[in-house]
Amino acid sequence: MSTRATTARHVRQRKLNTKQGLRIIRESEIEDQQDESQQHIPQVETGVEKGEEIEYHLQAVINASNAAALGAKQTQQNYIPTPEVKQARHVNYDELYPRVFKEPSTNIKFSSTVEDCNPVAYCLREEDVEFLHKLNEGRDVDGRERKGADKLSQCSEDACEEVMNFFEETSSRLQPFANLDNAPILTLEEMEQSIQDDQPLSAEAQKWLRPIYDYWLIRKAGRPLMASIKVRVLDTANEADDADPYVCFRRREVRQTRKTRGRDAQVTEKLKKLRMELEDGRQLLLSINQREKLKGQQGQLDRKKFRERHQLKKVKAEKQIVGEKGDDEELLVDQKPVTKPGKRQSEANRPATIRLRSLGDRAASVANAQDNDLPLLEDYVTEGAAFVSNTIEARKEQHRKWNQHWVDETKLPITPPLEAEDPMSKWAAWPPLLDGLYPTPPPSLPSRSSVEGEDVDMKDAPDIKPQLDTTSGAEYEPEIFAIPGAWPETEDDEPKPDKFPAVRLRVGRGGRRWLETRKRKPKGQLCRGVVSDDDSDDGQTPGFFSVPEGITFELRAAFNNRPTGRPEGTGSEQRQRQWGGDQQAGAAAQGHPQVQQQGAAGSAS
Amino acid sequence: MAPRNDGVDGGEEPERGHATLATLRIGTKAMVEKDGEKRKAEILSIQSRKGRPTFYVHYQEFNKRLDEWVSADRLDLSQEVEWPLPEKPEPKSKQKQAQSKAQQVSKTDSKANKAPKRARSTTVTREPSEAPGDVSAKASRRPSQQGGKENRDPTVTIATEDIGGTPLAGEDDSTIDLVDMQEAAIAAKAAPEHAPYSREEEIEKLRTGGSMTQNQTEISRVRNLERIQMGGYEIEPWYFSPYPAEFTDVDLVYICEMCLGYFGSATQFRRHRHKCQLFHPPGNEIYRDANVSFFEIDGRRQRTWCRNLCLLSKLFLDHKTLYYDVDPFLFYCMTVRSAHGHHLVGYFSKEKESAEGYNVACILTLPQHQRKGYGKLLIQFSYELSKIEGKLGSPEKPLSDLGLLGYRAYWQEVIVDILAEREADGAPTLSIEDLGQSLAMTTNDVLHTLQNLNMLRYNNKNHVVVLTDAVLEQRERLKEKEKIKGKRFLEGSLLRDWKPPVFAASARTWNW
Ligand SMILES: [Zn+2]
Repeated sequence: MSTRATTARHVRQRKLNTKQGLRIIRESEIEDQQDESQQHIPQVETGVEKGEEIEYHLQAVINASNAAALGAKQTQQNYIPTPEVKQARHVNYDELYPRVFKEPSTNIKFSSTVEDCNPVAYCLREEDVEFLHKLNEGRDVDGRERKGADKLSQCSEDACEEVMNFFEETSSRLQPFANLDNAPILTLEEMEQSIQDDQPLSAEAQKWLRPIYDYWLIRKAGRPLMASIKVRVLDTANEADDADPYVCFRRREVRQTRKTRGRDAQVTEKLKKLRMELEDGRQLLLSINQREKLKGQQGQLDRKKFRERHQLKKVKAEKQIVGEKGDDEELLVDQKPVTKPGKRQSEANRPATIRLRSLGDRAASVANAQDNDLPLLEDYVTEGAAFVSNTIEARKEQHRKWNQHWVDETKLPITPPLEAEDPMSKWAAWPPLLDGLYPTPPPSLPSRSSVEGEDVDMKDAPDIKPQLDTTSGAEYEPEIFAIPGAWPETEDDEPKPDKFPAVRLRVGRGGRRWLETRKRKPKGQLCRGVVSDDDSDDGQTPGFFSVPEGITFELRAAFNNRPTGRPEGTGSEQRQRQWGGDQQAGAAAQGHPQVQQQGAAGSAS
Repeated sequence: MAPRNDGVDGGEEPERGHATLATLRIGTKAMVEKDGEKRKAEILSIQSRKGRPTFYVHYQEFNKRLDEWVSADRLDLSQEVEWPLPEKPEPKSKQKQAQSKAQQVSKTDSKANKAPKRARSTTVTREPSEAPGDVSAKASRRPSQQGGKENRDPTVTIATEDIGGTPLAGEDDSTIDLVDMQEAAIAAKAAPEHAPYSREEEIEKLRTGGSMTQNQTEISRVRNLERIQMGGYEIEPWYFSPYPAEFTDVDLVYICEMCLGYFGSATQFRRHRHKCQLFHPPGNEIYRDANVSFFEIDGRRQRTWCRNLCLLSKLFLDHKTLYYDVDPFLFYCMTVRSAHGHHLVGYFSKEKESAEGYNVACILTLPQHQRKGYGKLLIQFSYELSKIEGKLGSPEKPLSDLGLLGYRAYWQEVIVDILAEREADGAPTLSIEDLGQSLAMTTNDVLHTLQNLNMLRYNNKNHVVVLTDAVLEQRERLKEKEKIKGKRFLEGSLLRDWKPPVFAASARTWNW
């Protein structure tokens, strides 16, 4: 065994090209006759199951043939013994298989099934024949004289089988699981009702239904009378079923068709196309439907028109009205489209066919539209542009007014530290206080405060922003606010000649704050002139009025500590609410604590 | 077969000892007389017939088709017997599982047992139950370990553990027959988890194709039919086939030669023959020569006939499985003609679409027609079809022993023929692949055949094909024989009108 294995390996080392032509020679032509390695049969895969490969008789045959291949003389014929086959005794073959087959001259083409060739599957067995015998003697299943039995009429074996077959087939058709669920056996009446039109019982068989049913009932025991194999129609994962060696011919599962992306795409395309085509068809039908409806309407209108004309004529005849010739023309005869009503009429009279609007139609309709003052796009555009520029101008003007009497006295805007410190940040989470400190819109901006959204609008509109930026770096920030004018007079040594406050705090981006005072005329009067922020932003002259340095701080501190007066106007209230709601987390948390912080920082210094 | 028996038990030495008829139990290995010599055989089942114990035995190293019922006097009890291996202790849960399964199965079968019972089967399993380790329990499980060709794996032994609580012991003797025991054995076997080829795996494999089984559950059954009558012959079946369970109790099962219908009663069969209108296999005759005809039958269109054919052929094909239906197969049936009609001689089935490139699934010459050269015709026909299809074919594995010999004989004959002709033509060169192409054989099959005949040699540092004296002599002998008996070979040209059937995807699927 081991030598053979090594030989096999030895041979395998010389690689064989199966595509290469090999020379065919005789044994005598081999040069090295003594080559040991040539004198062995390599072990080759047999394809026989391993356990059977070693069986005694197979081995004997294989060994003999191997020996023969190596030149040994065959001594005896080896074969694999099989169980006995013998001629059947007592079989009259010609009777069982009559000699009636005629060989057709051409090859047989055949597609009938076993069932087609033998529609009555039921075959009488010994006890059935016994029963039939009794029946034909005029006796019943139980052997008693059958009532009304006509002794002359005999039930043939064929008829009996037909009836039995009918009972078997009907019960298995109507109660396919009778053996499982113990369904009551069908009554004869139920059976008779279910006689199928396509498989009628012969008249002969019909006569014997009753007596044979009685017999069938006795024999029937919940399973088919003819021996049948166990085939599971139901898919079942039942383990017992699986282990049952008698259950066979299970239905196999549907083999998966190979799916590829290309195939999927193809299918999708086809479906899409189909869908489109169906949709086209549907549209066509809808249009036709509409056309026919219109036609119907037109018919009705024509009819109505006719009746009206008829009426008119009658009236005219009655009243003997004889108008000038041509007067009633338009009423009585269909007119050429001349006048407007005429045109409409003619349109109505046009055959109602489906047609696409032609280019000419459209041009005509556009021409008509001009008559009717149809607005033009250009108009809209110019109107819109005008509105925008007006708005911008108005805003600019507002802003100018807002800054009119104020001057920035801040030496440097106080920039909050980059990081909020802990003690401060907790302020941020203190809404009630923040609420009180909320900036309010300047009263000088009534129009703005009435339109709350515009704050945001301005911020978002890029063409406006730069303008405002030049006006004041922080202008577009929503934190823009001013202290409304309830500045206590006691704290201000300057007299307040009018209702405007003397100081305001402006908070810019990042919480920077400016303290601004009113511009003053040298005489102490508040300047009412226009100071254009636009133009003199850089050149803000600090000359009008200056808060002494010590005071500025105090002012700030005071400002921070005193509650801000309630702003007037529902608009400002709204705004406050909005801030409280929308921006508490954002702007409020960022900006307003810094107000606090600065105040604190200020007092610390 | 030594490995099967000695290897099975994982080196564990079986207990030996002297037995009496009364102590013999299933699984015991004793010396049994077979054809004049004594052979070790395993007892697979025990019955009492006319009050005498009869033993169903499997002879070691013999094919299962030689398993048989023997009377007590053929057992040599003067020699020691090998007792079945003691059961390994098994977790309770597993025992229970197996037990419940066994009961389940015997329940499903109890209906079949209502059939009028003949005297044939009364088991003796409990008669000798003085034996120390109870009999019936082991009786019920032991056969499962038997016969299966893959039982050498010790895990199988574990998996087929004792079903413990002797569920059969409580029942009335008369209700336990051969079938029940088999069922129990199968149930006990249905559990294996480490079996080399589990039932689940195999069913999964068969789901997608193939017709052969290597599963021991399928092939380890005791034959269920005693004898069949088909045409003018009485035939002893070789293996189990899932004919109606009540046929187990019938002495002779009648098979109609034309429709292959099966009948347990002579009267019924006579009545059937009176009505049967079939005179040939129900399909198209695609080949006809002076001797034989071939019919092509679609399993999907002729379900009943093809099922009948499969039931019949399972009696003679150990590895054939009938677990799934016949739809995905075509059946090529060879007949001989007479005034009675076309007599089925043999057939092969073929998958409509074989993933493995097989051109034959199952192939069988009916036993009454064996040893007449028909097998070669069937094999040749399968290759003629492959030639027309332009494919290389090979039979589905595993082959049976007879199948292997049949194929080897055919391969040798056609290959040697072609080589000898080439040589005579004076063009003595041929590649392995060309050889395969002209015969519609796979390269592997050609190669193996040449190797097996020692025809593939090495000469002058080149591979050569040698027409050995042995093969030439065998060829001569065959030609001599043909001169006397007439040449049995198909005329490929008669098949030229045949077109490979084309199936829509729906016809190839397994569903109904
Ligand atoms: Zn038949």
